[in-house]
Amino acid sequence: MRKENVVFISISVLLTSALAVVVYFSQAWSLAAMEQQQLFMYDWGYLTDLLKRGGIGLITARFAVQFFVNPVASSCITALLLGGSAWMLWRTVSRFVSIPEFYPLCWTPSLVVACLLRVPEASFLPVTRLFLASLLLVLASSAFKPKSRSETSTFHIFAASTIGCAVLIAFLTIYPKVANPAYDELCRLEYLTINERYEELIDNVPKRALSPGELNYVNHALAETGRLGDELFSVRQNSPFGLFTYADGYENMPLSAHVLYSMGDMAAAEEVAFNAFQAKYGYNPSMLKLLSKVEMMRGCHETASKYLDLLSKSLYYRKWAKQYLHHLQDGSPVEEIERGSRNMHGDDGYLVMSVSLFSDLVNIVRTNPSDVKAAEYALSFLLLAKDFTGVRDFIAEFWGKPCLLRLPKHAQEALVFFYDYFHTMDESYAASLGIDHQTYSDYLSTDFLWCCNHGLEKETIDRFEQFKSSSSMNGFRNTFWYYLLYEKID
Amino acid sequence: MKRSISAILAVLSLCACSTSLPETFSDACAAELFPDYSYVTIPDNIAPLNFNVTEDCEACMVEIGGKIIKARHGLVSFNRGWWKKTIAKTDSLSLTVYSRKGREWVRHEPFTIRISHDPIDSYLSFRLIPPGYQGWNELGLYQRCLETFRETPILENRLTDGNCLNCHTLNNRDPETFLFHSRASFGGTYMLMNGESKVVNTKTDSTAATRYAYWHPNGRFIAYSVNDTQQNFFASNPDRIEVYDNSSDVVIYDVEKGAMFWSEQIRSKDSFETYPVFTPDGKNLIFCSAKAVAGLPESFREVKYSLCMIAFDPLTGSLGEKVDTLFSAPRTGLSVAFPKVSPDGKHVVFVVQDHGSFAIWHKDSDLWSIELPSGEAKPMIELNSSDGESWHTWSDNSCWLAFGSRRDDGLFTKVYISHVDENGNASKPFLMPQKDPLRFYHDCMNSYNLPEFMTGPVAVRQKAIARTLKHASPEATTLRSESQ
Repeated sequence: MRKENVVFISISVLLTSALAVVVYFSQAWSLAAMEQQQLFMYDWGYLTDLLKRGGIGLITARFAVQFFVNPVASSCITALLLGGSAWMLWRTVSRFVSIPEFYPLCWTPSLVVACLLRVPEASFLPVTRLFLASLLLVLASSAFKPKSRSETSTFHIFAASTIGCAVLIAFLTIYPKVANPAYDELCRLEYLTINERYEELIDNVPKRALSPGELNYVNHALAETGRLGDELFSVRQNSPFGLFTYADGYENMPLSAHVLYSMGDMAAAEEVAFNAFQAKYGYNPSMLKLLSKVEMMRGCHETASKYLDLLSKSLYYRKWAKQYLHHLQDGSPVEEIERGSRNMHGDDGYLVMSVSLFSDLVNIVRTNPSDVKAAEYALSFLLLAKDFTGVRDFIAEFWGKPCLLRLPKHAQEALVFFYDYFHTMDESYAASLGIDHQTYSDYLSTDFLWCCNHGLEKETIDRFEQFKSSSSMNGFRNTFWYYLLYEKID
Repeated sequence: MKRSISAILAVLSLCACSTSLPETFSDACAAELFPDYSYVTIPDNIAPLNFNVTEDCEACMVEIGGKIIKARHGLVSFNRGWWKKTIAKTDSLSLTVYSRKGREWVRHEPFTIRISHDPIDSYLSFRLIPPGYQGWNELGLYQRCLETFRETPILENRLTDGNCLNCHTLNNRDPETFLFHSRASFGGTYMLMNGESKVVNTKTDSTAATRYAYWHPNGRFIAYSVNDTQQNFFASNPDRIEVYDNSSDVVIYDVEKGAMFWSEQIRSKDSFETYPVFTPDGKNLIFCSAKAVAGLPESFREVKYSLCMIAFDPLTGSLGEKVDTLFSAPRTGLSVAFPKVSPDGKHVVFVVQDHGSFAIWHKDSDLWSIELPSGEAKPMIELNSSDGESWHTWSDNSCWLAFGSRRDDGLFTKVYISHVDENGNASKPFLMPQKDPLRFYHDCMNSYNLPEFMTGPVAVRQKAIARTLKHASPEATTLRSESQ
């Protein structure tokens, strides 16, 4: 093998490895989101349909994307494909123009494609990037054009390649972050959610103020780990929208479906999932899983098996689907399905999302008084709406039922505040706030003993006393009291 | 050379396995089949009725008209040429299924398929849409040749930026005169009339965008409903979704003048009017009407539609004064939807349910018929199931009725076809045939929505339709008083 070829191969391997690392740190989550836009099925009908629509190229692409479920695999596959394309382009170009400085130019298309992977809806950006990238490379190549090929060609190859590609990689890394900074974070949260890696999600919450969408993911993770009632304010909240923001576009629909499912609002989750399961390039696997489970809860096994059969034709979801198909066939109970089923046996005239999501939650808890998650979500809605009177009413209705055998920490904070607020308010001031005598008397009936009998613990009482006497709020930022008094609701 | 050919033929003939019936077998009850085609009546121009034997067995074969067909993985597939020839010259096919489990063969109870020589319209158009949608990521209008398995798109919404396409309506099943609505981007009503296409904006200052449509037989008028439709999901009702109108009216569009008109009998504030259809003689307009109900959606069970009829003069385009009630909701406590008059004018078939007008999501919805002119209403027992029956369409010769039903899985609507005799008696319906029906319907993630018979295929290419929708300026609609 010629020395020059060895050098080029070495550079290509190095660049491909570097690209894999760059892709991993800059794009692994958006690639994982791409995986959710299709369900690659090992099914003759599906493959022939792909073949008809896009030939071998489409099948190869869809085949590769199924492995994007693993961020390391997605980065390696992407880098290998792009590095391989660059190498083949260079081999082709070098047959016609044997100028080594063209080597970096051959990386341009691959790097531009890598850049575009991050852009959800590519429009004019690709053209601009292609132009800029090509221009930079040509400039880099021409700047190092050798006077005598024999003397300095190796050095020039290295120099041109390094400078050109360093500029492009920097561009690749920095520019998309400027163009779409929130996208990667949402993709990361979505990935952790659909893979049920809730602890990891909670442990790595950014310190900055979170958008409603990001808060939906974090609060969902808290709910799934049973920590919503105690740790809601461990993250800076700004409104009830942090619990649920209704999907206003396809991208947000899976999140809405996950959250509604977690709340136990199975019919509403199904409503959203019906719209979300048809993704950009096929079926959304996580939505198919959700639909399968809801159909099982309904007892519609025929329809559930339709969805499960689709999933069982895939590589990654086969095991999960087979497990649920097994449950379908032998009728063995699945705890998750059992829980949801209970929520689907209430008032047959109740329409979800027609009044408010909070009404749905109360309806769910009334139908299924053992649904702790739904109760925690309902209490959290009231807390985030700063409705401490509503918290008192909720506790009055549900305390002692299986869903509320222990009062979550933040609900205790709201209850003690309620007690303190109305017991230190004189009736004339209450009247000036529009509180009539009967209501005022009702509020006063929630006395200290009532609070203690409804889950208020000594630790919360002591902490509240400290809060009232403290001059600094630093130690109380993770409390309902701080949120109530100092956070402005959006 | 000749020797070689003879040798090859000899080897091939030895290799070719000649299927023969098992010599010993025991008798058993009827085999489990999908679709259940036993004792159905089919037209002599229908595509082969391939079916799957779903019995738990290792091998099976079917004896039909002296021919033995071996099932492959349970699929009994007929040769199209043989099928066509066979059903053209007989009135009945007798089928016997044999299945083998281990070494034991079982002969299942034979069944027959009756062949009617009343031909069915060669095409069926429909919309394919995922059930339960609110958005519309991927949908389309399609046409299926009933004599073969060929299904082609009339228009897929990927060509029109993924917008909603709905309510395709043909004039007397004529594929050259039809319309459908296009929503969102490229909004308007696409109309094809004798090969010429245009887009009409049916919104006026007084009326919102139109919905359900029906052509007058003379092609000059189109009856539309104007609906403010909403849908909500039930928390725990097997019906899943309630679709309801906050308000609805019936209006009539004059195609020649591009003008809309109505009378207070079909557009009243005190009632919801919807699903208008003209009678085949064009002298009457039939529609559904319910007393307006406040407090929707909570009061959805109070909305009950009656079937009404009003005279229509096609020469002057004027409506009569008196509204006749063909089926009374207050008297029966039931609600009607989707009326369709047979082309011979003898029967009106409609859907009856407990409440509301959107039968697709009602498990109790059944097909009923009223004989004209006697007005006697009765349920079409042969057609109905424990799940919902909904949109239906008459063939050109009034002998076949195709309708949507969710009887198989409760969610995905499929098309069933039934023969209806001159007295209005329907035969057991059969599922629209497919090459491999079990696999096809199991893998199909769409509902067959709004099936409509067509006497032939829509000849306009979908790209041309999309181009018209994208580039044609929608014609404005005036009110008739303004246009005169």
